[in-house]
Amino acid sequence: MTGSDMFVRGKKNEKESQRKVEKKLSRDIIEQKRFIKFLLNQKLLILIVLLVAAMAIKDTNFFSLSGVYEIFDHIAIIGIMAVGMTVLLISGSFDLSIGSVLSLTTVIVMLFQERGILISIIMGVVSGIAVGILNGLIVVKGKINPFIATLGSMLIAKGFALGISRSQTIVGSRAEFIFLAHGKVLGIPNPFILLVIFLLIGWYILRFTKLGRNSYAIGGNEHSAILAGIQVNRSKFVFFVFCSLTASISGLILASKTNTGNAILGDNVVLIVIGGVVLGGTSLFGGRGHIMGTIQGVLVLGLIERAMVVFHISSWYQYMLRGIVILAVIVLDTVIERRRREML
Amino acid sequence: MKKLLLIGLVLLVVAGFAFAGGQGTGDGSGEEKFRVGVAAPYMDPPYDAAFWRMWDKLVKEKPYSDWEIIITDAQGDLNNQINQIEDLARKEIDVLLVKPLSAAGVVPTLNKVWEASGKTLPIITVNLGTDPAQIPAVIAHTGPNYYLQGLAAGEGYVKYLDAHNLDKVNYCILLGRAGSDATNLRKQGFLDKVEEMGASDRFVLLDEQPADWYTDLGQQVAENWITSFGDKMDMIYAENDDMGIGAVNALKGAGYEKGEVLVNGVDAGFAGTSLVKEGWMTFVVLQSPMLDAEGALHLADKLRNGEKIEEFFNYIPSPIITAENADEWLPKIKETWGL
Amino acid sequence: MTGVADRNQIRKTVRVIFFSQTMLIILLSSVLLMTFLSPNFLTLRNLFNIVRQVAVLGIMAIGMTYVIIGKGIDLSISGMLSLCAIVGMKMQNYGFGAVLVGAIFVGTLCGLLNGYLVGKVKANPIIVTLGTSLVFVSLALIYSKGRSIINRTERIYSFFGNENVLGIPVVLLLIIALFLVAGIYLSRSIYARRLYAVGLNERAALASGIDSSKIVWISYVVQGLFVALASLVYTSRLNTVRVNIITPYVFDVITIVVLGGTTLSGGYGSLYKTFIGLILFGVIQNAMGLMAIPYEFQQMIKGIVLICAVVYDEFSRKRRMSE
Repeated sequence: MTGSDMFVRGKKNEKESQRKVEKKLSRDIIEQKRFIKFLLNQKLLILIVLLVAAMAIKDTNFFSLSGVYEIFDHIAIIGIMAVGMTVLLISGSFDLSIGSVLSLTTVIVMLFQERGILISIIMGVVSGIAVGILNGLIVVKGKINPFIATLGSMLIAKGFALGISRSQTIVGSRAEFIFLAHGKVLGIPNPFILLVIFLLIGWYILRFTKLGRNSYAIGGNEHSAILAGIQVNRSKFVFFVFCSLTASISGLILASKTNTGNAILGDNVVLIVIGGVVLGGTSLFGGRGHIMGTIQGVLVLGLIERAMVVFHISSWYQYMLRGIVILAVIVLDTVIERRRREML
Repeated sequence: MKKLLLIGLVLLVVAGFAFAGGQGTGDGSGEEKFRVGVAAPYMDPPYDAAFWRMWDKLVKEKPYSDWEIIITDAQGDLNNQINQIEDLARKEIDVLLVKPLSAAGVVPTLNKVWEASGKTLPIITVNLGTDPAQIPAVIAHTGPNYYLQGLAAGEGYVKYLDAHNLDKVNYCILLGRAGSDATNLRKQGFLDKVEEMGASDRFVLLDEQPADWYTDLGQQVAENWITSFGDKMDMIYAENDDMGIGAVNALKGAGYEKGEVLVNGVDAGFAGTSLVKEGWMTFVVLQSPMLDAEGALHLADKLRNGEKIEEFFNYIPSPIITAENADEWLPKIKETWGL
Repeated sequence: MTGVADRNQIRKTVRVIFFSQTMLIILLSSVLLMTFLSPNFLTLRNLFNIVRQVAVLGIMAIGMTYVIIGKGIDLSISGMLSLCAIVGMKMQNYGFGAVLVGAIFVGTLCGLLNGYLVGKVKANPIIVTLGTSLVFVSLALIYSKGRSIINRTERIYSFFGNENVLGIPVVLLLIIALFLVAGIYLSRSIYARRLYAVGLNERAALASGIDSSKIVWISYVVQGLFVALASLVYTSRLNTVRVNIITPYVFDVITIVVLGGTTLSGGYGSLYKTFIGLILFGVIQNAMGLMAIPYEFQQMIKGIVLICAVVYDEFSRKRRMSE
C-alpha cells in the first residue's frame, strides 16, 4: 500500500465515520422533531387532559370510576354515529340524514313495541338501513352530490317519522326495553360497551379490511381508485348503509334511554357528530381520518358539555365557548397541518 | 409506540383521579350553601327568556340570594337534557328542578338519578310535568298547565260565540312546534272544552299547521290561509302570542278590519295584551313567567326549611284576559314579563 | 332537401333550450300545475305574498351563491342574521341611517371573520362556519339579553317589509334590484372571473397568479353584506325581533341555490339560476300551504323535490355537454 493509498483510505474512513456521525445526529434530530410534531399532533389529547384536570380540581365528585363511565355513557350516542360518519367521510362522502334516521328509529321502535321487543328492534334497524340504501342509490346511481342527496333524504325521513307518529311523542310500553340503555354489565353501562364495540368494528374495518382501504383510496383520489380497479360504487354504497346503520343503533339507545319515540329527537345531532369527527382529524374532503381521532374529538365535545356544568357557565356564554373551542381546534389543526406540509 | 405511551399516560391520569376522587366532598367552598340544580330545556323562546329574567330578578333577593344555583341549558335536545340531569345529580345538590323538554322522555333518567341517590334527592318538575303525571321520583310539580290553558281558550271562544250570537265558525289552528307536548296539550284542551260545552258542531276546522311558535312563520301560514279560504275563515286559534301576532299582521296586510276574524293568543305578553285592548285579538290566556319562576323557587325554599310539600300539583292560574279587563292587566303584564 | 334538415335543426334547438333551461321549465310547469290545483294561486295578492315570504331567504341566497361558487359554504347565516337584526334594531333611536350602518357594519365584520378563517387560514368551511354561527348567536343573545326589541312606528321601518309602491311590494323591487346588481357584477367583473377560476380549480388559479385566499375571503364578506341587507327586510317585516337559535334558514337558503342549478363543488353557477331557484322554492312552499298539505308531508315533499330537481339538472347537464 502506498502512502497515498493509506491517505485516501484514511480520508475515506474519515468521511464514512463522519457520515455515520451525521446520520446519527440527523436521526436524533428527526426523532426529536418527530416527537415534538407528535406532541403537537396530540392537541386533542392535551385538551382532554387539561379539561379533565381542570374539572377534577374544581369538583372531585366527577372523578369517581362511575363518573368516568358516565361520560362515556353520555357520548355513546354521538360516538357510535361518529364511527359510521368517519368511514363515510374518509371516502369523500357526507351524510346529513343521520339525525332523521335517529328520530325515525326511535319512532318505529316505539310503535312496534307492543308486538315484541325483538320485532321492534329489528324494524328499527331495518328502517335505518332502508334510508342508508336510499342514500346510496341516490348518490351512486343518481350521481348526485351527497350533501344534497342526504339533505333530501333527511327531509324525507323526518317527514315520514312525523307522519307515522302524527307529530306525537310515543311512549314505550315495555319496561324491559329500558334495560338496553340503563343497564350495566359488570358495572359498565351498556351504551359504553356498545360504543367500544362499534369503535372496534370501525377500527377493524379501516385498518384491516379491503373495504377500509378502499375508503381511503376513494377519498384520496376517486379517479385513481377507479383506474386501480376498485369497486367504487359498491364500496360507497356500503359506506352509506353503514353510516345509517350506526345512526339506527344510536336511535335504539336513545329510545331506550328516554322510553319515548319522537320525530324531532335527532334535530341537532348532525352538527355535533360532524364536529366531533372533523375535530378528530378526519378531513371533510376525504382520504384522511382515524377512529382514534374520532373518539378523541367526540370526547372533547362531551367533556366541554360536562365542564359547562362543573363550572356553572351561564347558558349564553356556553354557545360562545362551544363556538370558540371548535374554531380554535380547527384553526390550530389547519395551521399545524400546513406547517407540517411545509416541513416535509 | 409513542402513541401508546401517551395514551397510557392519559389513562393513568384519569384513573388516578378516578380512584383518588371517590365520593369527594365537593369543591370545599367552606360554608354549606343550599344547592339548587336546574335543568332547563332551552332559553331562547320568548316565554322562557322572560321566565329566566324573572328568575334572575327574584334570586337577587333573600332568601334565594344565599343559595348556589346551577343552571344547565339543553338547547332543545332531549339527549342533552338527560345527560345534564345526570351531571347535575352528581353535583351533590339539595334539590333538582327540572323543566322537562319532553314529559315522557325524562322519566327513565329521573328514576335513575333518584334511585342512585338512595331515593333521597328531591326532584321538582317545573312548567311541564311528567308523563305519567305522578311518578315516585318526583315530589311536586309547579307551573302552568298547558292542558288547562287549552281548556281556557276553548271556553273563551265558546263564550264569545254565545255573547255575540254566532252560530258557526270556520276556524284554523296555528300549532306550536310539531311534536312538542305544549302543542298537543293546548290543542287537546281546546277541543275537549269545546266538546264539554256542547259546542263541537259549531266549530268547523278548515286547516291546522304548525308555525313553531314563531311570528314570521305564523304570518306566513296565515297569509296562505287568507289566500286559500278568503272570507270563509272566521277564526284562528293561535297556540301562543307570537303566532297570533303573526296572524294579526297577515290580516292587517290583507286589509281586514279588527274583529272580522277572531284571533287569540296564549302567554299574554305585552304585545299580545295590547292587541286585545286594541280589539285585534279576542282574548289572551295568561301564562305568567313571574308566577312560574316564583312557584318553583317557593317550593325549593319550603324544602330548605324542612317543610313538607302537601300538594303534588301546584298549578299557577291561567286567567283569560279580554278587552274588558285588559286595562287593569296591562301594568301587571309589564311587571310580570320584566319589560 | 331542406325539409329534413330543417326539422333536425329545430329538434336540436329545442333540445338545447330544453336542457339548458331545465329549472326554468320546471318552474313554469309547476306554476301551470298550481294554477289548476288552486284557483287562488295566480292572484296578484298571492304572488306578492310569495315574494314577501321568500324575500329574506332570497337576499341571503345572493351572498351564498358567491360563496358556493368559490367552493365554500356558510352555515352561520342564521346567527349572522340574528346578530345584524339585533344590532340594527338597537340603533333605532339614532335614526334609520344608523340602523343601516349598524347592520352592514356587523355583517361585514362577521364576513371578515368567516372569510379570514376559510380563505387565509384555509380551515374547513363547514366546521368554521358552524363554530362562528355559535359565536354570533351567543353575541346576539348577550346583547339582547333574550329580550325582544320592538320596531319604532315610523313608516321607514316597515317600509321594506310590508309596504307597496305603486301597488308593487317594495320588497320585490328591492330583490330585483339586488339580483340585477349582484348578477351583473358576477358575470362581468374581473373579480367574478377569478372567483369562478378559484372555485373550479384552485391550484390552476394559483398557478395563473390569482390570490385565491383573498378572492375567497371577499366572497364571505359579500355574504355578510347581503345577510345584513336581509336582516333589514327581516326586521321590517316582523316589527319585533328576537333571537332564534335553531332556524332552518341555512338549509332553505342552500336548497334555493342548489335548486337553481349551482353545484356545491364550485366554479359553476349564476345569480340568474339562483333567482329561478328562489322563485321555484317560493312557489313550492306556497303551493303546499295553499293545498293545506299536512306539515309532515311538506317536509317530505321538500326533500323529494330537491332530489328530483338536482337529478334532473345533473342529467340535463350531462346531455348538454355531450351535444
